Amino acid sequence: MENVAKGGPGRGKIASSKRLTRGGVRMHLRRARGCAEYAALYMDDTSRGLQRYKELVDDWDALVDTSRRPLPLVVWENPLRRAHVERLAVAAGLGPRATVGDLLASRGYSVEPLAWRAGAWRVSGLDKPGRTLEYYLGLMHVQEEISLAPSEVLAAEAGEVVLDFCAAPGGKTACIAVGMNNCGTIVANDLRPQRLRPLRSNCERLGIRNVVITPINGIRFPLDAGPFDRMLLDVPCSCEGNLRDSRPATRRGRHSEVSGRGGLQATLLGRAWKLLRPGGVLVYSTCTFAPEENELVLDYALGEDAVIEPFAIAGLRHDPGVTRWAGKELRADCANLARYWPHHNNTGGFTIARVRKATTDG
Amino acid sequence: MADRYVLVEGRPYLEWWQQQFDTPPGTLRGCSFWQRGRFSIWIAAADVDPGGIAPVDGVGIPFLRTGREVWKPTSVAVIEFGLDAARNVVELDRDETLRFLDRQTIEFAAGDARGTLPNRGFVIARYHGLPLGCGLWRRGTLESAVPKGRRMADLDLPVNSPRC
Repeated sequence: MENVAKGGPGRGKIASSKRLTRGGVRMHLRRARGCAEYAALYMDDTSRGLQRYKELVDDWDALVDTSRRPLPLVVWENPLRRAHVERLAVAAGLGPRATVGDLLASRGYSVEPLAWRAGAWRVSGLDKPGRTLEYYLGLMHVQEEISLAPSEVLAAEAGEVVLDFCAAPGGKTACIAVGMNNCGTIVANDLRPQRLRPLRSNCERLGIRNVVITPINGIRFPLDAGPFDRMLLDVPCSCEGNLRDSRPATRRGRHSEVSGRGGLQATLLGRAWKLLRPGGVLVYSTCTFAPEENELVLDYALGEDAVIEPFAIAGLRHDPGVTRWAGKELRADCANLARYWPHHNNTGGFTIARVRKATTDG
Repeated sequence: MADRYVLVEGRPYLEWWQQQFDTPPGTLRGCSFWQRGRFSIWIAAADVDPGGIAPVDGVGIPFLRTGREVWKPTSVAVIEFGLDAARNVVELDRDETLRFLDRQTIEFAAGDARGTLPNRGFVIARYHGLPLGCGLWRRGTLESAVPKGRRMADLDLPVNSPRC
């Protein structure tokens, strides 16, 4: 099954699914089938699939089952555009207190509020959320549910100076800006021009005014740019947690085995750490399960001036991080990582660590 | 290649916006203005500080193009700040809104009460009071200035009444 990672048999099956789409199959049916098809391929492959994490998962069958279903569509209301939402709601006859969720529900879409985050909804029946007036006007943003978690953990406040190290396409940047009420500074950095375009576009559409966008290679990010109060390091990873996302961009050969990106991730973390002020908070996150891209990176890159803090988001279940992997003992506070498995919250997969830098006076 | 962004005095742009669109006082309060190149003005939160980082690829959101005889507000700025504008505003109905967002030109009938604007200039196109973007008004026609990248065809509108 070596070809799975290179897109051999896997690519063939996906291509066949796409041909069916051209024949007129509805989009959500295509997504459902593509997701199940790919999950089966990936999860049954014992050498490269998720089976290597079987000992970490409480209910393997539930994980397999969940991974074969497509992700729910999640939208969140942009509080920076509350006045616009009110105006639209009144025009639609819903009253000024109505939300984006109410506006969507009034058009017949099925809307279910998220249990753990106010102002966000799972929406079904909405095939093209990007073609709604609410989206065009920046009243709402479409984002995978679990991707909302890192900014909650970061909890940036108005007036702070925040660095979003690998910011594109900007959903997490926008969440941070909303939490800061458009005050202070977020430096949103990303290297590749093709990723900066959606970052710029999303920030402009959502009215993010406290953002400074930089196109700098994180490995060489200037040290005199700091110090930053808080930092989000959502590093490039092998995207195992995107298993349920059937969009081609997340499937094009990126579901490889643990990709050997640990070196890059550790280098980025080392650079970011130098830019963080003493007492500051860094949130390290990946959309992958591999300890090689999470706990091992933190164990390698962090020194004694770092403490991985415990945290919990009410209403969102997580498992602890691992302190031993592949025969290697890791730092004890790696247990404070949060592993979000798809079957626990019906989301994608994610791993988040909240790390605080010790103050210089101890 | 990213350009330099230079913090500039905001008064001329504040006064222009106020004079052009007659928005309530304080609409642009707490903002800083940044110039990129010779003709592009960006607007950001007052306390935004790039902190000497270079290169920079954006500070806040684009606000104004000053390269021609007539300054042009960006559609992004119009949506952000044009909610309560009282001057140079054109209300569109459902069909006109869909065409405007599709970057089409809208012609108004001779007797249309909305055709009372000055002969030529940039205006705010609105739908049920919601700013949709910037348009160029001249002699009874409205040319959509929605950026190509934000063009929308077959938009799903939440309000179904046929007229505004």
